[in-house]
Amino acid sequence: MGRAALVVGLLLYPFVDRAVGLQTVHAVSDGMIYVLLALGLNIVVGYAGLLDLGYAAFFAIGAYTMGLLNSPVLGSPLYGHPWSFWLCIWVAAAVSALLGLAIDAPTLRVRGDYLAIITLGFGEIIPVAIRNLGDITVEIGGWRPIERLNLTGGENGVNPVGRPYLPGVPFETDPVPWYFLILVIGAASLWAMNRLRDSRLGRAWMAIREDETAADCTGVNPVSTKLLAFALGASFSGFAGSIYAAKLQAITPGAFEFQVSIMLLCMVVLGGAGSLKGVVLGGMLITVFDRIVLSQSTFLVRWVGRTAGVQALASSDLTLWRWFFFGLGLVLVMLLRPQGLAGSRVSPVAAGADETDDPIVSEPSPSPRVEAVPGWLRERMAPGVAAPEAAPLLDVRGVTKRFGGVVALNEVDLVVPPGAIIGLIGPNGAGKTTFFNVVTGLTRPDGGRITFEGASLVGLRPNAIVARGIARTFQSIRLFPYMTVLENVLVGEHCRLAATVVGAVLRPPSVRAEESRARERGRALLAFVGLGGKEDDIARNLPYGDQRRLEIARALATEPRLLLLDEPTAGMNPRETEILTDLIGLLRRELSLSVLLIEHDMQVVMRISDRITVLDYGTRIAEATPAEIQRHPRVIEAYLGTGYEQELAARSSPR
Amino acid sequence: MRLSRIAAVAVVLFAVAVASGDVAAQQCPKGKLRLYTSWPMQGAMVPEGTGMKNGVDLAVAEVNGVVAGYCLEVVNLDDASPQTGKWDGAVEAENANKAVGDPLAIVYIGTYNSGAAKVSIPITNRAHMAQVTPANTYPGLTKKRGAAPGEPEIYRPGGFVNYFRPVPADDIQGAVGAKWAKRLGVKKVYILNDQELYGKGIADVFEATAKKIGLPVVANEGIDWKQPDQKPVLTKIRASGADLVYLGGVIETGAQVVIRQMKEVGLTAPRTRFMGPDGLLEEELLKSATCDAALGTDMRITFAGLPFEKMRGVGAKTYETYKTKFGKEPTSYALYAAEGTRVILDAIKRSAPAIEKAKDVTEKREAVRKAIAATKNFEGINGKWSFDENGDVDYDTMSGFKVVKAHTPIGCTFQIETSLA
Amino acid sequence: MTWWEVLVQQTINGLTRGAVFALIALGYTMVYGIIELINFAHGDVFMLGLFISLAWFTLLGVTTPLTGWQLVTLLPLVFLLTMLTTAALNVAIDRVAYRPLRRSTRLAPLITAIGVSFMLENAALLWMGPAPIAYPDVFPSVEILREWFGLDSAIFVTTKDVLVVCATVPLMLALHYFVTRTRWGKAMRATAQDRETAQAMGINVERTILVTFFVGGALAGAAGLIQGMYYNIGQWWMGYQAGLRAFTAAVLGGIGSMGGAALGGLVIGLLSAWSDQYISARWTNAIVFSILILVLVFRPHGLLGERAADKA
Repeated sequence: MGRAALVVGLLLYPFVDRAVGLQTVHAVSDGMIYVLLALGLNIVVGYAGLLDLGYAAFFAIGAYTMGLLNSPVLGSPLYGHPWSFWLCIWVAAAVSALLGLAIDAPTLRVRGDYLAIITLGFGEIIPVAIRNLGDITVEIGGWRPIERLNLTGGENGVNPVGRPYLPGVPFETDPVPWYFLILVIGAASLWAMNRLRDSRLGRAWMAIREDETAADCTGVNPVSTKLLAFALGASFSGFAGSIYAAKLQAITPGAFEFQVSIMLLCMVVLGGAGSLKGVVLGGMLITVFDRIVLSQSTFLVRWVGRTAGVQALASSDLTLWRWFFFGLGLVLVMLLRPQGLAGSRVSPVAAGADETDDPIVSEPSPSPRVEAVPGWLRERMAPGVAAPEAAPLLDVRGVTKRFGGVVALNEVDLVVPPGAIIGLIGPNGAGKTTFFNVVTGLTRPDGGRITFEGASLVGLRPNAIVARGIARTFQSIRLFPYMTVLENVLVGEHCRLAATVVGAVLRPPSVRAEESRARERGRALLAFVGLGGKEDDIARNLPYGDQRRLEIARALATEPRLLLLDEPTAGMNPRETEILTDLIGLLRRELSLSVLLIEHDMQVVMRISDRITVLDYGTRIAEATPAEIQRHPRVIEAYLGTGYEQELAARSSPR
Repeated sequence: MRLSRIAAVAVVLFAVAVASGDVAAQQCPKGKLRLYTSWPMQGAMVPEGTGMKNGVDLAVAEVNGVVAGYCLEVVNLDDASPQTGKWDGAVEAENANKAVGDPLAIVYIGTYNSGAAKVSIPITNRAHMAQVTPANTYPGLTKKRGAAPGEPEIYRPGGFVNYFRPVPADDIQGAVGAKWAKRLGVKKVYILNDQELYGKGIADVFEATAKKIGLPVVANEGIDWKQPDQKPVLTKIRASGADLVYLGGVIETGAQVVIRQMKEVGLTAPRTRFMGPDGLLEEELLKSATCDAALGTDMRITFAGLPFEKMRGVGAKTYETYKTKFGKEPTSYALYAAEGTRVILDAIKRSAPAIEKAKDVTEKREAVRKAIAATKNFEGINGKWSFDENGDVDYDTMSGFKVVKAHTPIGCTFQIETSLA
Repeated sequence: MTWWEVLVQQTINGLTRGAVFALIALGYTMVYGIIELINFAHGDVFMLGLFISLAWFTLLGVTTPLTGWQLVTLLPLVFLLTMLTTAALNVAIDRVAYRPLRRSTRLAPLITAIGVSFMLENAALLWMGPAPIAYPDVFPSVEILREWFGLDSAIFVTTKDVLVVCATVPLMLALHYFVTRTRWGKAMRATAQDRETAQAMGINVERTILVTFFVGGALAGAAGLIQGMYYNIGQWWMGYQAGLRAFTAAVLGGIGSMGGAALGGLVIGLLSAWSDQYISARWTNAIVFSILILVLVFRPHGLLGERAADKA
C-alpha cells in the first residue's frame, strides 16, 4: 500500500510539479544523482565499514569517461568519435570499477583510518591530474615527442557532452526525461543493492566491518571482499558521474574536489550508514533542503519578520549564515540521532546485558541431543572418518615464534589424530593462544612445519586455512556484534557458498536454492547448540553463555574437520560448562570432529581429552594422557611454581 | 514523501513571501517582465554578488521599474552549492532552466564565473533568450582567439548569438600586457597562474604574445594558490634570473601571498618587477599585500576599460549614484551589472512593438535578443561602444596602472600610468 | 644563485613550512590518539588562532614591529592569551559536539566535526570578511646573514625563519615533557592505549580527554600565531587547507605518535618545497599525496607509528 503510493507519487511528481509551476524537478534530479553517488559510497562506508574520504575521485572518473568518449568536439586524440551514451555509461562504470581496483589493490594491507587517508590522497591527486593533463609537454633533451597535448581539457573542462538518444524522448533542457532516466537507474541500483545486502557478499562486507580478524578466521577473504566493495562502490559513481556529465553538458575539474567527498560522506552518515532508506533520505535532504529551503530562507524569515512586525528579522540576511546553519544542522542531527536519521541497526544494549553473570537469568539450555545434530553436518563430515591411527590430521613439528627477544613458541611439536580431542594447557603466557594463531595463519611462524591432511599450512592466510577445514573460536569472544545470530552463522558458511556478484543480484534458481539451504542449515545448527528461536536477535544482545555457543556454531558452519577452541568455558557457570563439555564430546562421537582445546578448567580438560600437551614458556614440557599428565613432575612444578591454586581461583571468575 | 511535502510547503511560503513583498501598486498597462540574475550569493562571494545585484537594481530604479509600459521584476538566483562550496554547474543549469521555463522571463543576467556561463549559455540559446554577463571575461565564450577547440560555436546550438558582454574579454588584455612589459624593458619573464579559467587563460595569452614579440618566457607555471606560502616557487624564480613576474589570477587566489613574499625572497625592483591583469586591480590587494611589498616590486596592472574614478560622463555619474544609493564603493563588476541592465532596458524599449506583436514567449525573447545584438553607439560607462557580431564590445580601452605612494589609510594606491592599446 | 644555494634555500623554505604543519599535526595526532577521531575542526581552530592572536595584538595596540623589550614581554603574553583562548574553544567544541557521542559509532563524531568546521569557518567569514587579512609585521624581519654577519650570500635567512624554529621546537619539547613526565601526560598515554583499563586504574578518562583537547587547542593557537607572524596573511578558509596538510603529516608520521607528527610535518614541508623547485608547482599536491600513499603501502602504520597489536 505504502510502496504503491510511493511509486505513484514518484511517477506523478514531475507532472504535478509542472502543473503547479514549482520548477523543482531539476533540483530533485540533481539530488538523485547525489543520492546515487551516496548509495555507492554506502557500500564502502556503510556495509564494508571502510572510511572513504576521496570518493569524489570516482565521480570525476565517471564523468570524465563519459565526457571524453562522448564529446563531439575537442582537440585531443581521444575526441571525434562520439560514442553512444548508452554504451558510455557502462564503459564509465567499468572504468571507475577498474580504477577502484587499481587504486585500492596495493593499499589493502593498510587498515582503518590509514586507508581513509589513502582514499583522501587519491581524491586530491585525481583533480590535480585532470587539471594538469590538459597541457602535457614531454621533453627529452630538446626533443619533444609530446608538446602541449590536451588530454582532459585542463581547467577548461569538457563540453559539450553528448546526450542520450532515445527515439521520441528529448533529452534536452526539459528535466523530466532526465528525472525518469535517473529514477530508473536509481531504482535499479537500489534494487541491486538491496539484494547484495542480503547475500553472501553483503554479509561478508558487514563481517569485515564488524571485525576484520574474526571475519578472516571465519573464512571471509578480507582482501577480495574489500576490493569488491571498492570496485562496486566505484561503479555506481561511474553511472552517477556519466549522467551528471551528460545532463550538465559541461564538466570542470573544480566540481570534484574534497568538499564533494565530504558532502557525500555527510549524506551517508546523516541518513544512517548501512541503511538504504537512510542514505536516500540523507542525500535528498542535503541537496533539496539546501536548494529549495535554505536558499529561500531569507525571504521566509523576512516575511515572518514583516508579518510579525519584528524589525531584526525583516531586514536579516541569512545568506551570510548559510554555512553556519548547515554545520549546525549536521551537529544537531548527529547529537540527537547518532545512528543517523533512518539507522536503526544499532539497537541499544539490551537491559539484560549486565546480568550475564547471573545464572538464573540465562534460561537453562537443554543438553545437546544426538538427534539434534544437523543431518547436513553429519553428511559433510562423514567422509572424514578414517582409521584412527592413520596419518595425523594436524601435524605440527618444531614450530618457533619469536616476538622481539621473547620466544613465544620454542620448537613445539603437536599432533592431532583424526577424531581426537587434544587438550592444550599451560600457565598464563605459556604460548597457547600464540600457538592457535600460528596454526590458523594469524601469525607467521619463524620456523617449523605445519601440515594439515598432508598439505603445508605455513604462509596461508587465515581464510584459506578455514577453507582447508580448520575453524577456531577466540578467548575473548569475537562475534560480529551488530549482525543477527543467524547472520553470524551464515558468515560462517561463506566459504562453502558460491554466489557471485551477478548471482547475488539476479538470484537465479541455483543461488536462490543455495541461499535457502544455507539458512536452513544455519537454523538447524543454531537449534543444535541451543540457540533455536533466537535467530533474529542482535548478537551483542545475547547473554554471555549464548555468545560462546554462537561462536562455536559459527565455527561449525565452516564445516571444519578440526576445531580449535580457545577457553570455551571461560566465564561459564558449572551448568553451562557441563552442557558445553557434552557438546564437544557429542561432536567428536557423532561427527568424528577433531578438537584442539585450550582450557583452564582442569576438570573439563581431564574429562574429555584423549591426550594433553603442556606448554610452559613456549616450550612443550609434556605430552601424555590425562592420567599421566596429572602425575607428571614437570607439569606439577610448572603449575605449582606459578601458583596453580591462585590461578584457578582467578580463572573461576568470569573474564 | 514527507520530505517533498516540507519542500512544497516551503515553496508555497516563499511564493507568498515574494508575492506579498515585491509587487507594489504600479501601473503596468502591458503586464510584467522578469529579469533573472544568477551568480554566487554565499560565502566569500557575498560582497561581489551583492554589488552586482545592486548594479542591476540601480539600473531598474532609474526607470522606476517600468519600461515601455512593462513592469520589471528582478529574480536573483544563487548558483553556488554546498556540494562544491562555490559555483556549481548543476545549480547554474537549474537556474537557467528556471528562467527559460518562466513565461514572464525575458532576459538572463549572468554569470560571474566563466565556467558557469559555459553551462547556461546553451540553455538560454535554445530558448532564444538573451544572456548578458556583467563579469565573464574568458575569451572562448564569444570568440576564437584564446579559446579551446570548438568554442564558441558549442555554446550556440541555435546558430545565433544570444550571449553578450559589455566587458572586454581577456585575450586583448593578455596581449596588451605582454607588449607593455616589452616596452618597459623587461628581458625575461616568469609567468605564474592560479590554474583557474581566468588566470590560466590570460597567462596563456600573455605567454603566446610574449613569445611572438621576442620576450623570453622562462615558464608558465600553475601554482597551488591555497597555500599561504609561495616561497619555494619564488626562490625558483629568483634562481631563474627572470626580471618580471606575471601572475594570472584574481585577488581571491593568493596574489597577496605572491607579492608579499616576493619581497621576502629578494625579488624586488630593479632586480625583478611584478605585473598582473585587472583581476588584481583592487585596493583590497594593497591592503593585505601591504604597500611595502607592492611598491618594492614596482607593481603594474593592466585594466580593461577605465577605473571607476577615471570615468567621465555616464561612468562618473553611475559611480556617484551608486555610492550615494548604497553607501559604499562599487565592487569590481557592480557598474558593469548596471551597464548590462541598461543595455537590456534600452533594447526592451526599442523592441516594445515587436514584443507586443509576438505570438508566444519565444518570439518576445527573440525580439529582445535581436534588439540587444543591434545595440550601437551605446553611451556606456567607458564611453560610446557597440556590440560586434560575437556579442563583444568593440572598444579596447586598456589602461596601465602603477602602484604609487598615497596619503590614504592604506598608504599607496593604483595610479594610471599610461593608456594601452 | 648556484645549484647548492638553491638547494639550501629551498631546504630552509621547506623546514619553516614544515614546522607550522608539524605544530598543527600534533593537535590532530593527540586527539586521534586518545579518542580515535579525525578532528576536522582542528584546522579551523588553528585558523581562528591566527585571527584571535591578531585581535589580541590589536587590543594591546601593536601594529608595528615589536622592539627589544616588547619581544620578551608582549610577545609571550600574546602567545599565552591566544593559546588560552583557542584551548578554551577546543575544549568547548569537545564538550558540545563530541562528548555526547563518546559511546556511539565512529562516524557520528566525524560528521559533527565536519559540522563544527563549517560553523567555525562561517563565523570567521562574518568576523573578518571574505578578503585575505593582512597580519601586521609584528615581528621584526632582519636578514641574518647579510646584516648580522656581513656575508653577501644569495641565501636569505631572516629572523622570522628563526622565529618559526625557535617557537616551534620549545613548544614540541614542552609537549614531549608534558606527555612523558607529568601526571596528566601519563594519564593521556594510558587512556590512549586502553581507555577501559585506564578507567579501571583510577584515571579520570573524561578529564584526561579534556586536558588533551586543551593542549591540542593551545598548540593550534600557537601555530596560528606563528603562521600569522611568518606569512602575514590570514583568510577564513585557510584552516580547511592547513588542516588537510597537517592531517596528512600526522598520518605520514604515524597517527597517534607525537614524534611522527613532527617528522611528518617536516617531511611534507621539505617534499613540497623541493617539488616546487625541481618538478613543478602544479604537480606538488599530487606528488605529496603519492609519496604519502607509497609510504603507507610499505609502512602501513606510518613512518614512526607502531603496529597496534591485534588483540586476538
